[in-house]
Amino acid sequence: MRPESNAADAAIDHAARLLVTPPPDEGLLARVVARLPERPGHGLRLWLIPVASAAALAVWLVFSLDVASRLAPTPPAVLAAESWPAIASLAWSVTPVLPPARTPVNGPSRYRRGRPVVDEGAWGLSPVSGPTPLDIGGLSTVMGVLETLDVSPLAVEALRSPAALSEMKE
Amino acid sequence: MPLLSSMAAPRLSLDPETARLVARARDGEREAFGELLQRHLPAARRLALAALGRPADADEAVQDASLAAWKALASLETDEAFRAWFLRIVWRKALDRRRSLRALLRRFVGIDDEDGRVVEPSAPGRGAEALAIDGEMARAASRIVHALPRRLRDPFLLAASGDHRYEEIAALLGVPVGTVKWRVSEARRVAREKLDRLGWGGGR
Repeated sequence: MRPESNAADAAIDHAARLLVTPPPDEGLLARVVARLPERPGHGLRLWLIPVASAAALAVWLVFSLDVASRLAPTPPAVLAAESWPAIASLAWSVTPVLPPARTPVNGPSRYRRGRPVVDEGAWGLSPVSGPTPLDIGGLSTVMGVLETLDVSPLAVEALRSPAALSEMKE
Repeated sequence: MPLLSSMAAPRLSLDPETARLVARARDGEREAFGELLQRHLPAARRLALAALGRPADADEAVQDASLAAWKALASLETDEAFRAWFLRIVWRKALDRRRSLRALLRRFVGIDDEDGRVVEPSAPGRGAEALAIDGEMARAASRIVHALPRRLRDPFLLAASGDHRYEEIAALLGVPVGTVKWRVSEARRVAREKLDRLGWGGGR
């Protein structure tokens, strides 16, 4: 190793040591201690955050359900049973503007957009059965809701049949 | 490579006095915590300086780390391991500060010129070794070391501080010990090559 190399190595090591040599701290320790809070912390447990959130949500849910059950005048199933004729009427009110279901009937007549159409077709709607809300995809939701709420089979049947609806209204 | 082997010094802190001080600090004795800090403050400042380059930034990182350590004292699992635990916090705080927007601006836009701290060879208290080194070469070496890529400069400066074993440096940097040794060696090689190109050294 030549002397120049030794000098270069020494210069590099010396530069590195000086780069990590700080000047006098000028009261750094006193400043740090003065900034310390009264008590040391006990460590933030990050896993506590989701656990506490879940617990708070559960408490809120139980409380809300309890309050709702106290405030509700009637159980949901009773409400639905009482109001099902209105729901059925609403469903029927939109029926004429919707296309009829294609069901085989006897005779040459069929309905188009709720009106009887006389033509040679062998497919159409029975005047008795008619286009029901249940034939319309969007209104199947109404049925789903009624069934979920445990409405009587008679009420459900009223939606399927105009005749049953008329009987119920009477 | 004699200089390389002399840079990283083994330092252990498994002493009962540290454990006692930590226990007192856990009980809320700020004086005990201050005493702990006093023991490790020089190493902490050198560590932060290795990451940040500016003494003012390094001291702020040490202050942040000290507060964080005080707040998280209960999460320290073994009291004797305070030093390594504290220095890890210091290193993280220093890296946070280095990655901060202000530091990036300083680096790329140059909002102040203190970052390129070049050590003057005539600084007091440098010893006989420094006196033997040519002043121009020392300044050039300082600039070269400062400009090394971080992945080489960090382990090189940590080793140069003399506070850490290679195992501790590896734990701080999150790389294997062998990688640390290679990077320290590579940092020296790159710096020497640059110094050679500037006309210093023997062109080995």
